[in-house]
Amino acid sequence: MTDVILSVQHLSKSFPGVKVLNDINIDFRKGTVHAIVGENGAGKSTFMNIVFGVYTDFNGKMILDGKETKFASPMEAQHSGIAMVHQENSLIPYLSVMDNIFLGHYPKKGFFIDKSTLRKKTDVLLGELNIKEITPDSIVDRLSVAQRQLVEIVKALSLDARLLMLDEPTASLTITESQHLMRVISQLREKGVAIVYVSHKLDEVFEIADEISVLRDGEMIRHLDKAEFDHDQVVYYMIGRKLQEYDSSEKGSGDFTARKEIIRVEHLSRRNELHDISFSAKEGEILGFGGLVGAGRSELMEAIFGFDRYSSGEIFIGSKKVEITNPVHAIENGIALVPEERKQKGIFARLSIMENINVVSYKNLKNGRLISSRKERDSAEKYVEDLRIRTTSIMKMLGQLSGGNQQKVILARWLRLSPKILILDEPTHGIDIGAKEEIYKIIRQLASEGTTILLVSSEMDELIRLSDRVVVMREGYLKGILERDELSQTNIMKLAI
Amino acid sequence: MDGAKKKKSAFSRIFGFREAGVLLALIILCLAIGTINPVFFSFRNIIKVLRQFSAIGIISVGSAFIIITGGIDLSVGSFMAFGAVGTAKMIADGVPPILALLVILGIAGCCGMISGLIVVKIKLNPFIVTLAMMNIISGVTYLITNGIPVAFNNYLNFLGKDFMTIPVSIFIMIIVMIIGAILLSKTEFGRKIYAVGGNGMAAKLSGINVDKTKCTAYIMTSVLAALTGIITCANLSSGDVSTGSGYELNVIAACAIGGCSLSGGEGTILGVFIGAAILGVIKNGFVLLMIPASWQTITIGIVIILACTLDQLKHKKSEA
Repeated sequence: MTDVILSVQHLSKSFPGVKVLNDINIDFRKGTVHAIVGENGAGKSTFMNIVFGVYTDFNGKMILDGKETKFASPMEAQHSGIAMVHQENSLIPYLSVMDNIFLGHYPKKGFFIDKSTLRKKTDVLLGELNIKEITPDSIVDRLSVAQRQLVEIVKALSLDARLLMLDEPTASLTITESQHLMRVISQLREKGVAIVYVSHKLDEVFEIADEISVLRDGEMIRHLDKAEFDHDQVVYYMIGRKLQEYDSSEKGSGDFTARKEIIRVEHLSRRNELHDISFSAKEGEILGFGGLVGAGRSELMEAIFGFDRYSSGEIFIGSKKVEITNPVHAIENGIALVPEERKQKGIFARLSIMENINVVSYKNLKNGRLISSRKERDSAEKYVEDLRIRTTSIMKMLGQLSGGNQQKVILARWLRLSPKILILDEPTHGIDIGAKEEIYKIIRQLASEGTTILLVSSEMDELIRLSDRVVVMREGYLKGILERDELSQTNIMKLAI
Repeated sequence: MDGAKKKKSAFSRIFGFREAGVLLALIILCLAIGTINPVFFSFRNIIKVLRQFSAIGIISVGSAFIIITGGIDLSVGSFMAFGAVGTAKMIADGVPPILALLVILGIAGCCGMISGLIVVKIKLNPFIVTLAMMNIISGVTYLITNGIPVAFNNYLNFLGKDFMTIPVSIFIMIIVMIIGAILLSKTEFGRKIYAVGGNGMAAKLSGINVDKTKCTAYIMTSVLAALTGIITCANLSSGDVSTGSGYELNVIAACAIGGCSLSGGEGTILGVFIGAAILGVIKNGFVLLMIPASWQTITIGIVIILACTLDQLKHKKSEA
């Protein structure tokens, strides 16, 4: 086993009161893509942070090139050839690509930065990975998310990394962009770099990985070689139980002809973004919205909700035409929106769970002019119980909860108003499988109670499983509406690409 | 076991609240000064301290609202001068005092609204907007009298006098603090202030009128600053352009010591009161202990850093 670059042995780590990693053994080999999968909270991030030298306090050994090593800081790890691309972007927006890549280890001429060498070196690095659309002088702020991701990888490699860790690298990429990234990763593998690949997207993992390690609750559950890859098995190892079989009886009768129309959108447009969109949805219907990331689905939802204005077109709620120019109007018309980017648009991380749940409904929680502490508490406690939000106290800051529980809190916020129309934009993005199932259950329950749901999702399974019909969009155009018996991954993709 | 739990919850109820750290610091500070010089604890001296920081205290209530929304206001000192000089001049020109007071507060409110509107509509940085407003208001104040102090002798002087041996300004501070605390913690408007500062985009998507909420905070602060200027003027019986100079930074210091996060979303009126009190006690204490004034400002600087470090550590702990 001479090709093992890093061997992690008997690794354990505790935070006060919790054991997050227990006796983990993993080998990372040269020229191999090693995927680590597991639910949120399984310990993947902690594991990577230990390998990268962020956490220095742990039990166990790390053996790099046959020698026991301990990194005191990420800088030491980097100098030993270990690189990490974080989920969150760590680039400096107003600097150029080459500055970002070589920040901290600029080529110099005396006191000054040697610009021409800098440019040349960056060109070489970009060229090695066949990245043609980025130039050394491009300003990072003007690059797309996918391009930034590539710059991050190049930056990591600029220190001659032999072990590259990628944390959810495709989380915000479109399919084409992800494919490009996959090609780059394959090239790195051929060059002999060991790659650690952490992702929720199993399809992607099966495509790119040579071996998979499954973590659950801080334990190493199973190590699989390429020949042993099997979707259902991996899911089983991840969640520790069989996933519920998809059951078509989960949906209602699917016959909405007799139902009341709740929302109708006609010829909605916004310059360059949305073009002549028309659709309608009935009481208790789940209308899915499929398409690639960037197809204009979120923009459409935000236009309906009044977050961004639409330039032409009409929206009817019930049979009444409404003018929605800001979220206040939307809420008055019984529309609620659970937005796409939970962190940026949804949560108040520093406010309590209670305040996060009640933020849109203080009007109903007052005694006279003042907010009643009792009503406020009761309201929050009711929803924490109803939606099974896992927390020790409703006064806990929302930022401290897991993604799934945060999403439930935001759902609670809107359910509190009993909306007629609930818009859900990627409601299970970045949420672990267990919490996903619970959110699906809530969505179905709401629909069966008569709430009309507009569901935007990039996960095909989710869309097909939950929706009564699916609207497919591409580049701001509505490409077609699929009826229930036409719903399939192929049909959706045909319209989406 | 159960008893121990209960004890702990009672303990944390008393000392676990956010302001506990600074409150403890204030108590230690008072005890230390009082031990060295017992005069500190005399009724007269306590009243003196309270009166000293009442101006900062009143304005800090408004500033806290702004800071919690994620903004900042550098123009409060100039609004104080404007309040003092503007009111004195109008009264000297024959306007009934109460009317003059209302007109000046109204004008201050309008100017605050302009700052607010520029911040939310043109989206300029509030630091820059209020820095500009500070210059404009100072200039206007100077223009009113060409910099010459105006005598202030009318029934509004009671604002600067005592009522039952206690200065009226202390009553005003307490009333403003109580109203501010109720507004912030018990009303929808208060919750909106926190939401806007915590996450502006999420607040907008929650149907909160972010622009209006922010503007209201700027209006409140300008009015409170002008009111404080009038109180100071009543106390000195003279409207002077130098009123309130340097207050903008003291007010921010009081808010920061009291736990308002300058990145928004956090802070309480109780905290701000303690922050203002610490500033007042340090000033008074150093005089009583006969320590040169330069040490006062050095100490205040250190206290600001310590208080904010304490906050930072608490965050780290609660986020781990």
